[in-house]
Amino acid sequence: MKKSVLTACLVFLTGVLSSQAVVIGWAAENVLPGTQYASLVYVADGDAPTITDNVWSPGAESLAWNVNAFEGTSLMPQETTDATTRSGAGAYYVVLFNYTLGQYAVSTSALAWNNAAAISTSEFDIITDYFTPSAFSAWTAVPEPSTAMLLMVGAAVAALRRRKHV
Amino acid sequence: MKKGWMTFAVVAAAGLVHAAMDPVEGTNVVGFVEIAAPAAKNTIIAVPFEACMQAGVSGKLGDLVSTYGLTGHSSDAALADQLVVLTVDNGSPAYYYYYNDAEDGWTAITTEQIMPDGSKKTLTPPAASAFDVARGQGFWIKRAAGSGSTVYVQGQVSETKQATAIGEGLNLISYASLQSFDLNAIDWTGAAGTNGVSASTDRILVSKGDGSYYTTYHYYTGGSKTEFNGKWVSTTGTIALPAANIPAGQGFWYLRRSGNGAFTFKPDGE
Repeated sequence: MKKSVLTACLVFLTGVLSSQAVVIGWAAENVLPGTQYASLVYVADGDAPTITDNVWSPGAESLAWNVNAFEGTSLMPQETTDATTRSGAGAYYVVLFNYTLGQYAVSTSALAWNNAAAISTSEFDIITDYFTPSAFSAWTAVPEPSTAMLLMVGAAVAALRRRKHV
Repeated sequence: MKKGWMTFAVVAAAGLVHAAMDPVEGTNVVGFVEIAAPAAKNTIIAVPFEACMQAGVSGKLGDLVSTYGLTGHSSDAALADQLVVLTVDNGSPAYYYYYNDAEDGWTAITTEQIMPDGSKKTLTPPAASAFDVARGQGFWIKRAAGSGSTVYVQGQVSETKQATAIGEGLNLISYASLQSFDLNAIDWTGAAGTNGVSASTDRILVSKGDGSYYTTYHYYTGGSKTEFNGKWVSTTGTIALPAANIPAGQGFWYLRRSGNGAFTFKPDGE
């Protein structure tokens, strides 16, 4: 039975929505060489998330960390619960990580918060199509706080030296 | 009493006790299974029995699902426990509804449902006493608020292998076991699997019982993790075998990705 048919029939199963939580189905293909973990990230403005000093860009939330169900260059299907009600331009991205090298890469496509095929709203709304991005940005280095701090300290020392020479 | 008679009596009593402890076997053996079905929740159940006193014959819905301990209501179906059976009505998938009438037991509910072509259709299910339920067929029980936490299914125990037909798409089924069972201890010849994210991989969705979606298992074949080949695995987070057995009488969704098929369930090694 196709999902559309099932959904049509199931509208009569009343009183089944016990909460607003949804379940997002996601996966990935053609993950970058060196990928060790993946994460599902929600971004309120829909723009691709970034990381600075180990902190996500404003409006970005990681919903699933350290996922490592890889088979070759594929990430096998994931189902992640999002308990927050979403709206507007919000979207989900798949982010890959190479912890050894301190790098991350973001999927070039996103999943809208209200995608019906990949997002389940109840136990009667079964995920049929997992969000499966197959293209990612190039690896981007994650500047760690300690590194950033050293750079700042280095810059301050350099500035002091310049001031002394003057 | 003579010593000889006393010995005979003791031996005879021991024999009777031993006989009472032996597992029940043979034809025309009836039994029941208690299934967890909490109040105000929807639970997928599946009947592991056949019609009483009729080996190899599908039982009737009204006979197989006991109303013992369930919430009945004589006038308002919404206040009673309900059964929801996924079936085919005039070639189209449809749900048949029954409620536990306080006096008459499982009673059909006439509903208006949206059909695949978008039209609305009034469906009046056949009487529960006439509705065939194949061994291993699953359906929903909707427990009323404030009702109990269990439901009993009953019927004749079958010792034959279970043939279960499935169609393309979603099917409510189960392995008709009288005990909890391991998904991977059953013969799944005919299941379709891959080692990636292909849309051709069959899936099994087991309800968590709390209304919060399912635990999903994918049929894994031909992958680099050879220990999982030919097995149902969960893939969320990491790839792993099922963490728990499925209780007797609990059903699940089987998502058939392509074509009709059938399984002949039998215990591993049989």
